[in-house]
Amino acid sequence: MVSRRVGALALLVSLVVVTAACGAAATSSPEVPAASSPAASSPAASAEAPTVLNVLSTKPEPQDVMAKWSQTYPNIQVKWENLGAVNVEQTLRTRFAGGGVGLDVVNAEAGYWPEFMSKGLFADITGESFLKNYTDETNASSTYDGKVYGISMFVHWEAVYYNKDLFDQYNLAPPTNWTEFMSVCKTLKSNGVAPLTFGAKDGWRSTLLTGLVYSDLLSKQPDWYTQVKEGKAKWTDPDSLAAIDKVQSLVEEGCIIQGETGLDYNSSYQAFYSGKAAMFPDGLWAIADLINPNKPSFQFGAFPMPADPGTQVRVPYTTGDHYGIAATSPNKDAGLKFLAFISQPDVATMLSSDFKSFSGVKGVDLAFDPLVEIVLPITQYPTDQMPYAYISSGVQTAMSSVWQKMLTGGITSADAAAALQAAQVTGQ
Amino acid sequence: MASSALRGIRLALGGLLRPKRRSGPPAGYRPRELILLLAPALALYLLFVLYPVVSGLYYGLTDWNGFTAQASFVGLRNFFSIPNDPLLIRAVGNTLIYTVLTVLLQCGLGLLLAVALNQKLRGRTALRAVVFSPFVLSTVVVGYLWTAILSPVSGTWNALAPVLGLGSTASFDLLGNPDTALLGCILITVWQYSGLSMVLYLAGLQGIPREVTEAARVDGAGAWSLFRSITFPLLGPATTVNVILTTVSSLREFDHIFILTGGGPGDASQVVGTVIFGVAFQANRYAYGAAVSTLLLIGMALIGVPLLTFLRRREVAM
Repeated sequence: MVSRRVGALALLVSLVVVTAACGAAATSSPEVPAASSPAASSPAASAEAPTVLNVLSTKPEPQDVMAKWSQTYPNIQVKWENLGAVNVEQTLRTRFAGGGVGLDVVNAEAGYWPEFMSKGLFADITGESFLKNYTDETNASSTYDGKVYGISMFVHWEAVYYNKDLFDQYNLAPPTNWTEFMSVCKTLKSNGVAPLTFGAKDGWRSTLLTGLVYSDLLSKQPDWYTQVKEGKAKWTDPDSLAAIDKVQSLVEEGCIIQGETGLDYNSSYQAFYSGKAAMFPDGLWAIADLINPNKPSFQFGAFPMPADPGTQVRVPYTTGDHYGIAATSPNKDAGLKFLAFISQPDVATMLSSDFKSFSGVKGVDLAFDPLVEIVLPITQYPTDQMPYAYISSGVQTAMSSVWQKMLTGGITSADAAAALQAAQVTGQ
Repeated sequence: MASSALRGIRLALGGLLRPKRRSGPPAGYRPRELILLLAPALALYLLFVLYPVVSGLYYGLTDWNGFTAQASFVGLRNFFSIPNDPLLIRAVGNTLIYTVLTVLLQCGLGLLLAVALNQKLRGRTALRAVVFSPFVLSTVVVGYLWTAILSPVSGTWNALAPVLGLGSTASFDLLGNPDTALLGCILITVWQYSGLSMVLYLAGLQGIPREVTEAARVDGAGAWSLFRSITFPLLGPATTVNVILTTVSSLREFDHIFILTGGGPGDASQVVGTVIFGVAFQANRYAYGAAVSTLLLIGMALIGVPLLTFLRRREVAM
């Protein structure tokens, strides 16, 4: 009896080993089976060894996409972990510093993605066929030292949202340059409406004010933040000081809502949503809030961040939501399958709709919702660098403090520039 | 139960300072069993307390950015940089202000509440529960709660203040004003933790023998002189525990400030804890953050141990 049980166990173990070997052979190709093909969920797939693929994301699990994944790859179970949007960078740094245990596919934002690539934290995926689904420009944002380390699921622009009803009430048109912008601010202010809010309490929101006041400089030199990083330009340069003076102007003219330094992102959005502030600089990603579930009761629009009169208007832009495979992952083949899967236009369309974000995959319609048409003209402008993505987190921290001090009258433009430059030297 | 808990904390604190009096082991002393009983707690302490402290000291002597595998030994460079860091100097000042005011207000309010709620009042138990309840809330919840109340744009205080006849304060930005942000954080901390201080003082009050107070009353002591000469001195152990716990938690304050103001506006409410977080995890200067942490630990010991000695000396034996 005992020997029969041992024999059965040995047979079972042999079968498992043989099946696993077949699975290993089957995982050598990361190509995605055609979703519509009956063979997609196929014997080859079912012969794979069961694998758990950890996906670390800043977004909640997209149920429809994961259902499609399960049909396509029944033997690769995706364990989706949503880190949310707060302090993701610190969480990822800690996880990587801890050896990257349990990290397979990792979602990183544009701000720290280049550094993560440069530190060798992600696996080289150069030459994978799914990279053809992205533009060369998008792939370039995931390239370091000639090697590609990931994909960019979504792309982002920044603009200034405005309350059309309030603008109509005071016969205002969306400003096309800084002079008009200040004029709009003054008119709104004189009518008792706070012109602008951006959420100065949250550190990262300081970059929205930066985008606004540096718009002219960036329109003239679209890679200026990179120049600063490389030491070719400084925050204390005359052009930069002129940009910082614009913050001073905004404060002096009362263009920013009272109590701005006590407002975080949500409170700031609430001020715009409730009509207490007429303009709200933000990424086009905010359209997700503006169309649902918190659609304002008023008509809204968006205009590009204004440059000085005569300067060609550009729009801050970045690729984002980068997905790569952790260099330490034991499931690289499964990770490649996942990246290939989400790079398919039909899956990318689903993700764009799920996350209300603009897909980076070629051929995917940007208008994931009819209301998105309101902001689509912004995407047609030439672009420059988005501060959030191109300014290091150390400098952003100092920037937040500096702008807060300017808003509360505690620092001059020259001191602000000096503080930013000092942070650039020590904190990048 | 609270009284025995207080006694336990006292014993733990007092054990740090009590001089050795005996030369031989007590009767029934069995070192093997003692070691076995201590081993699990000791192992956890070594792993989760001592090891991080020692490794923090080590990383403070390197240039590690908290991220990569490489770290070079730089000696005391990080420590020598500290006096030249204006943000940290400001944060040290804020931390001391935060600590002094929090200790005074929290312990004072806790004592007042304890004395009041030690009287025979109707609904006394319910009132105690109400006062204590903020303590059981997560600091994150407390932070978001008060942020929502005090928001100058959409806070509930905006609507409530005029009703209370305080309309002029409706749009006052307590947490967004550099002159009041730190004070706002202190008041909210005191609101959350004064219930804990009250419970510790209540335990102390209930441990005072009734015959002592009755004898004082017979001798003609009024309410104030009874409190000043009998009750407060006999609350020495409770005061020791309250002051030490509040001091230590205030010196390493992070969570209230981080959630309520983020250290702002314009660094006006930065404390050492938030600066450490900023340099270590936002500016990627982990080694410098570790050096500051080490100095904070030393600073806490330099303040805490003499304070404990002083408080223990002024305790009155019952």
